[in-house]
Amino acid sequence: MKKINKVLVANRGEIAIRVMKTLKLLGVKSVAVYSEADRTSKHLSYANEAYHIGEAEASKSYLNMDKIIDVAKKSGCDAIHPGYGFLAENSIFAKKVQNSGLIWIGPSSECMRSLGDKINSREIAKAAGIPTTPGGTIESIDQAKKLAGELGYPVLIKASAGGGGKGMRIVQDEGELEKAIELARQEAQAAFADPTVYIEKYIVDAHHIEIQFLIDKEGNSLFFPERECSVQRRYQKIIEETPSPTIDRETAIKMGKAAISVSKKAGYEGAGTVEFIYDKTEGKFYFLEVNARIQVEHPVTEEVTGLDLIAYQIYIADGQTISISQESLNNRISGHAIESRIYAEDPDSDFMPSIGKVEHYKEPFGVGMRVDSGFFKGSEVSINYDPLIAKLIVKAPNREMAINRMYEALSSYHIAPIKTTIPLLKRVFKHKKFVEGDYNTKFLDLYKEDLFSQSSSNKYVSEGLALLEFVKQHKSTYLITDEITSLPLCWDMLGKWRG
Amino acid sequence: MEKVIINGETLEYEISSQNDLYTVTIGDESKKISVTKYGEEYLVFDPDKHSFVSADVYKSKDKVIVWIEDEEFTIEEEKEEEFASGEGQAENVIKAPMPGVIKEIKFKEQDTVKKGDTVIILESMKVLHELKTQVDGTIKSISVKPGAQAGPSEVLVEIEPEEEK
Repeated sequence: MKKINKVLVANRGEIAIRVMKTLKLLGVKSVAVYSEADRTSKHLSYANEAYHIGEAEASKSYLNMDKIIDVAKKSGCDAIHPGYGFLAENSIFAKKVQNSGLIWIGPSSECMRSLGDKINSREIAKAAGIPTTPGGTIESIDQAKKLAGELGYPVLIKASAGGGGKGMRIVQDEGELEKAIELARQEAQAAFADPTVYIEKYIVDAHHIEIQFLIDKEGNSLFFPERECSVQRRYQKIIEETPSPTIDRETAIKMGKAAISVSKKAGYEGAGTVEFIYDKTEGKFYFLEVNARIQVEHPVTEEVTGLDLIAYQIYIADGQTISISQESLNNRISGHAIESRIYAEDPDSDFMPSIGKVEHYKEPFGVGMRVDSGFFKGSEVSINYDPLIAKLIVKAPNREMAINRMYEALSSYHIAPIKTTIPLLKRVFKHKKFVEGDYNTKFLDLYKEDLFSQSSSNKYVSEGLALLEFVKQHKSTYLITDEITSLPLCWDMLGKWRG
Repeated sequence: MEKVIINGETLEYEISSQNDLYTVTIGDESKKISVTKYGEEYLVFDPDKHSFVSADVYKSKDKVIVWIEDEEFTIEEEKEEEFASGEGQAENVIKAPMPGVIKEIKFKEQDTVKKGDTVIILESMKVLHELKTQVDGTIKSISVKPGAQAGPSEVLVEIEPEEEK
């Protein structure tokens, strides 16, 4: 590295660990920060140094911009890596970091600001010649009615500043439109302090497909094989795979080129992702948004290319150029990779967060299995942060083998007593439609009866009961043995019994 | 007959053990099963079929979660059973905490015992275990003789607790 020799990682959990692992590989020192609730969190041990930055509430610690910058300066860091979430796409923070003389590992604050506004990012895409979902801004109710009529119902009302499904509403007919706009505005105001909403055509057979890209300071670029992220709950992904079972190679390359042209138009530098909606019925893709950060699901791309995306983020921020050509990247691609997100949520109770201590924790391991986790036995799932426990990533020569490997891995991922998404994920990987690759963004909804019903047809009940008996007896054995050995005269007393 | 709740559904079964072999009966079906500790996990062996599966267990006060092959299920007991000495409430019976052979009975019926007195010595897995009374009182009945086999959670001795003075 020329300029970057020590990096503060302004995050926690699995992504902080993920970044620190690469920093170590690059010979770059890392600095962790932690809140009051994270005094014994897993990410601390992966850093060279760790600093307490405030209370458990994120607003008083991981979102405390000045404190984080202050720690970075005092600990002699050259750069800040934001991970994802928290301050990762906050253009004000990026600006403050740059103004303080530190290197921001990510796109410039100007670029993030212009992409963060969804209406504006659609304009950038249009200017780059990339189709956006048909739709437009709302000037008045009459104009909105006219536009929705032209698009054809159902339509989608979305918040300009939005994300995570907030301020988003599906409208089935004109009668519902005015009320839906009003409600979406209220939600958008409450969630993002910006009531601007817009209308989009609602695509029935919709697939969420995205392109990972890299652009360096000299404008060299790479696009990666697409990730299909259509298995979602509440507009949040839980399974991602690459390549997609939905689109052909020709479409994938078109999407890749589109991703590069939008990002260059926005002045992007670093690693990022362009999200598209793919309409399978029409065979068309539409620009959705640019994620100006490293994404949760980046590991599947790493697995099929053998590249380290975090390392590229750091190289690019350091001013180095991308040394690999698009062609040689294409030649590296092999096999199939899938990621499952293990959340501390109960899928059979509407994904209610499951808070508490992880008392039993065993990760799967083996060829083609990767666990990016922020937890171990004894870790606490707290209400203060994202309930993502881990990402389980598998790689195999083909999709069928990858699905089977994922099922194996999920079966040997044991977490208790908190509830997780593991049982749901196992049902998905056994579901005929998923196995056939015939699924879209409505998958969980459409097959909820197969996926959320608690099946109680267990083959190994007798074995379980015998095991229960065995464990109970052995627990007693240890207890009594301890008691005997703690008696001062135990050997005397036992003497005559031991020949 | 034992009663448990598996994934929310009540199940009645019987279990007996001889040496290291359990017989689990659910309805009309009986199955012989042996269990061995296997690293951090367990091996559950079916001697009739010569097949084994690996298993993992999480045990808390009120439930047990079992992972066997690709299955995961929760077993809850209808009522809490007390096991062994030391922990839990004092009770006026002495049970065999594990299968074993009665090596010695230190008292006879109608004898007076004090809390902590060793009443029975049980040999199991080459180790001698002292089974103690958790209450002061009089021995009401002893249901085993030296040399007898005792099954898990079998009641060996009943004690009439001493009245509060």
